[in-house]
Amino acid sequence: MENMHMKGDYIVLEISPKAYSLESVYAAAYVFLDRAYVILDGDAKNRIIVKLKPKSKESPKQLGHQFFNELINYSDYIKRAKETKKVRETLLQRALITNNPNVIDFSDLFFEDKPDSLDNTEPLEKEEKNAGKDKDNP
Amino acid sequence: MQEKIKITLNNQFYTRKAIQDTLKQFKELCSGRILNNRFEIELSPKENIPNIEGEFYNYVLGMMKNEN
Repeated sequence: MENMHMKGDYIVLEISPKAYSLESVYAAAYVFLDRAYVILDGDAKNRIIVKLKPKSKESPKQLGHQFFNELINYSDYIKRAKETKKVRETLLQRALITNNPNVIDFSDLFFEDKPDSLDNTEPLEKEEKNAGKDKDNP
Repeated sequence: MQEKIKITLNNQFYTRKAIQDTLKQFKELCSGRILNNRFEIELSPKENIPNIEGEFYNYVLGMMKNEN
Protein backbone atom coordinates (compact mmCIF):
# COMPACT_ATOMS: atom_id res chain seq x y z
CA MET A 1 0.00 0.00 0.00
CA GLU A 2 1.42 3.38 -0.99
CA ASN A 3 0.39 5.34 2.06
CA MET A 4 1.93 2.90 4.53
CA HIS A 5 5.51 1.65 4.80
CA MET A 6 7.95 0.34 7.38
CA LYS A 7 10.86 2.45 8.58
CA GLY A 8 12.91 0.67 11.23
CA ASP A 9 10.58 -0.44 14.00
CA TYR A 10 7.96 2.10 12.96
CA ILE A 11 5.10 1.79 10.54
CA VAL A 12 4.79 5.12 8.75
CA LEU A 13 1.34 6.26 7.62
CA GLU A 14 0.85 9.11 5.20
CA ILE A 15 -2.46 10.89 5.54
CA SER A 16 -3.92 13.60 3.34
CA PRO A 17 -5.45 16.44 5.38
CA LYS A 18 -7.88 16.90 2.49
CA ALA A 19 -9.37 13.50 3.26
CA TYR A 20 -9.06 13.53 7.05
CA SER A 21 -9.05 16.54 9.36
CA LEU A 22 -6.23 17.08 11.84
CA GLU A 23 -8.85 16.73 14.58
CA SER A 24 -9.59 13.17 13.40
CA VAL A 25 -5.89 12.33 13.28
CA TYR A 26 -5.42 13.48 16.88
CA ALA A 27 -8.52 11.56 17.98
CA ALA A 28 -7.31 8.34 16.33
CA ALA A 29 -3.81 8.85 17.76
CA TYR A 30 -5.16 9.14 21.32
CA VAL A 31 -6.83 5.74 20.95
CA PHE A 32 -3.47 4.11 20.17
CA LEU A 33 -1.47 5.64 23.03
CA ASP A 34 -1.67 2.51 25.17
CA ARG A 35 -0.85 0.10 22.33
CA ALA A 36 1.84 1.95 20.44
CA TYR A 37 4.34 4.79 20.52
CA VAL A 38 2.81 7.48 18.35
CA ILE A 39 4.67 10.30 16.59
CA LEU A 40 2.99 12.98 14.52
CA ASP A 41 5.09 14.55 11.81
CA GLY A 42 4.96 15.98 8.30
CA ASP A 43 3.07 19.00 7.10
CA ALA A 44 -0.33 19.71 8.63
CA LYS A 45 -1.55 21.31 5.39
CA ASN A 46 -0.24 18.89 2.78
CA ARG A 47 0.71 15.53 4.21
CA ILE A 48 0.37 14.36 7.79
CA ILE A 49 2.72 11.57 8.81
CA VAL A 50 1.87 9.24 11.68
CA LYS A 51 4.55 6.88 12.93
CA LEU A 52 3.49 3.94 15.05
CA LYS A 53 5.68 1.50 16.94
CA PRO A 54 3.80 -1.31 18.71
CA LYS A 55 4.50 -1.65 22.43
CA SER A 56 3.85 -5.39 22.34
CA LYS A 57 4.49 -8.04 19.68
CA GLU A 58 1.58 -6.80 17.61
CA SER A 59 2.09 -6.63 13.86
CA PRO A 60 2.96 -3.04 12.85
CA LYS A 61 1.08 -3.38 9.56
CA GLN A 62 -2.06 -4.54 11.31
CA LEU A 63 -1.71 -1.60 13.67
CA GLY A 64 -1.47 0.71 10.67
CA HIS A 65 -4.63 -0.71 9.12
CA GLN A 66 -6.45 -0.35 12.43
CA PHE A 67 -5.29 3.26 12.66
CA PHE A 68 -6.85 4.00 9.27
CA ASN A 69 -10.08 2.35 10.42
CA GLU A 70 -10.09 4.49 13.54
CA LEU A 71 -9.46 7.53 11.37
CA ILE A 72 -12.58 6.80 9.31
CA ASN A 73 -14.52 6.18 12.50
CA TYR A 74 -13.56 9.54 14.01
CA SER A 75 -13.98 11.47 10.75
CA ASP A 76 -17.56 10.25 10.58
CA TYR A 77 -18.14 10.92 14.27
CA ILE A 78 -16.84 14.50 14.01
CA LYS A 79 -18.85 15.13 10.84
CA ARG A 80 -22.06 13.87 12.48
CA ALA A 81 -21.34 15.80 15.67
CA LYS A 82 -21.07 19.01 13.63
CA GLU A 83 -24.26 18.22 11.70
CA THR A 84 -26.28 17.55 14.84
CA LYS A 85 -24.75 20.32 16.96
CA LYS A 86 -27.74 22.66 16.61
CA VAL A 87 -30.26 19.92 17.38
CA ARG A 88 -28.35 18.95 20.52
CA GLU A 89 -28.10 22.56 21.64
CA THR A 90 -31.81 23.11 21.08
CA LEU A 91 -32.67 19.98 23.08
CA LEU A 92 -30.46 21.13 25.93
CA GLN A 93 -32.00 24.60 25.89
CA ARG A 94 -35.47 23.08 25.95
CA ALA A 95 -34.55 20.94 28.93
CA LEU A 96 -33.20 23.99 30.76
CA ILE A 97 -36.26 26.05 29.93
CA THR A 98 -38.55 23.31 31.22
CA ASN A 99 -36.79 23.27 34.58
CA ASN A 100 -36.34 27.01 35.03
CA PRO A 101 -37.32 29.50 32.35
CA ASN A 102 -35.27 32.27 33.99
CA VAL A 103 -31.96 30.67 33.09
CA ILE A 104 -32.34 31.52 29.43
CA ASP A 105 -32.09 34.96 27.92
CA PHE A 106 -34.95 34.65 25.48
CA SER A 107 -34.04 37.78 23.58
CA ASP A 108 -31.06 35.99 22.04
CA LEU A 109 -32.79 32.75 21.25
CA PHE A 110 -36.12 32.14 19.69
CA PHE A 111 -37.74 35.53 19.48
CA GLU A 112 -36.73 38.56 17.52
CA ASP A 113 -38.70 40.70 19.99
CA LYS A 114 -38.93 39.79 23.62
CA PRO A 115 -42.52 38.78 24.38
CA ASP A 116 -44.36 41.14 26.74
CA SER A 117 -45.19 38.33 29.11
CA LEU A 118 -41.47 37.70 29.70
CA ASP A 119 -40.69 41.35 30.49
CA ASN A 120 -42.79 41.04 33.61
CA THR A 121 -41.26 37.79 34.70
CA GLU A 122 -39.76 38.04 38.15
CA PRO A 123 -37.34 35.59 39.67
CA LEU A 124 -39.05 32.76 41.48
CA GLU A 125 -37.69 33.82 44.89
CA LYS A 126 -39.25 37.28 44.59
CA GLU A 127 -42.60 35.79 43.71
CA GLU A 128 -42.45 33.49 46.69
CA LYS A 129 -41.61 36.41 49.03
CA ASN A 130 -44.49 38.40 47.65
CA ALA A 131 -46.78 35.44 48.17
CA GLY A 132 -45.62 35.25 51.80
CA LYS A 133 -46.36 38.94 52.32
CA ASP A 134 -49.81 38.53 50.91
CA LYS A 135 -50.50 35.78 53.42
CA ASP A 136 -49.33 37.98 56.32
CA ASN A 137 -51.41 40.95 55.21
CA PRO A 138 -54.60 39.67 53.72
CA MET B 1 24.22 8.62 34.01
CA GLN B 2 22.84 7.36 30.70
CA GLU B 3 23.64 8.80 27.29
CA LYS B 4 21.77 11.88 26.18
CA ILE B 5 18.89 11.37 23.75
CA LYS B 6 17.88 13.93 21.16
CA ILE B 7 14.37 13.87 19.77
CA THR B 8 12.39 16.25 17.59
CA LEU B 9 8.71 17.03 17.94
CA ASN B 10 7.10 18.71 14.95
CA ASN B 11 5.97 22.18 16.02
CA GLN B 12 2.91 21.95 13.75
CA PHE B 13 1.46 19.17 15.88
CA TYR B 14 2.85 19.70 19.38
CA THR B 15 2.70 22.76 21.62
CA ARG B 16 5.52 24.14 23.72
CA LYS B 17 3.31 24.04 26.81
CA ALA B 18 2.60 20.31 26.40
CA ILE B 19 6.33 19.63 26.05
CA GLN B 20 7.22 21.77 29.07
CA ASP B 21 4.54 20.07 31.18
CA THR B 22 5.87 16.67 30.10
CA LEU B 23 9.43 17.64 30.99
CA LYS B 24 8.18 18.59 34.47
CA GLN B 25 6.41 15.25 34.85
CA PHE B 26 9.50 13.36 33.67
CA LYS B 27 11.97 15.17 35.91
CA GLU B 28 12.41 12.16 38.21
CA LEU B 29 13.21 9.93 35.23
CA CYS B 30 15.26 12.32 33.17
CA SER B 31 16.29 15.91 32.87
CA GLY B 32 15.63 17.62 29.59
CA ARG B 33 15.37 20.89 27.75
CA ILE B 34 13.94 22.34 24.57
CA LEU B 35 16.86 23.31 22.35
CA ASN B 36 15.10 25.47 19.76
CA ASN B 37 11.80 26.54 18.20
CA ARG B 38 11.72 23.42 16.05
CA PHE B 39 11.23 21.61 19.35
CA GLU B 40 14.43 19.65 19.34
CA ILE B 41 14.61 18.18 22.81
CA GLU B 42 17.55 16.79 24.69
CA LEU B 43 16.75 14.17 27.29
CA SER B 44 19.27 12.98 29.86
CA PRO B 45 17.88 9.81 31.47
CA LYS B 46 18.83 9.27 35.12
CA GLU B 47 18.53 5.52 34.80
CA ASN B 48 18.16 2.94 32.09
CA ILE B 49 14.52 3.12 31.02
CA PRO B 50 13.68 1.25 27.83
CA ASN B 51 12.21 3.42 25.09
CA ILE B 52 11.97 6.54 27.22
CA GLU B 53 11.76 8.69 24.08
CA GLY B 54 8.67 6.75 22.93
CA GLU B 55 7.08 7.25 26.34
CA PHE B 56 7.96 10.93 26.10
CA TYR B 57 6.29 11.24 22.66
CA ASN B 58 3.13 9.58 23.97
CA TYR B 59 3.06 11.66 27.13
CA VAL B 60 3.29 14.90 25.15
CA LEU B 61 0.40 13.75 22.97
CA GLY B 62 -1.57 12.92 26.10
CA MET B 63 -0.89 16.41 27.44
CA MET B 64 -2.15 17.84 24.13
CA LYS B 65 -5.41 16.00 24.69
CA ASN B 66 -5.75 17.57 28.13
CA GLU B 67 -5.14 21.03 26.68
CA ASN B 68 -8.14 20.76 24.33
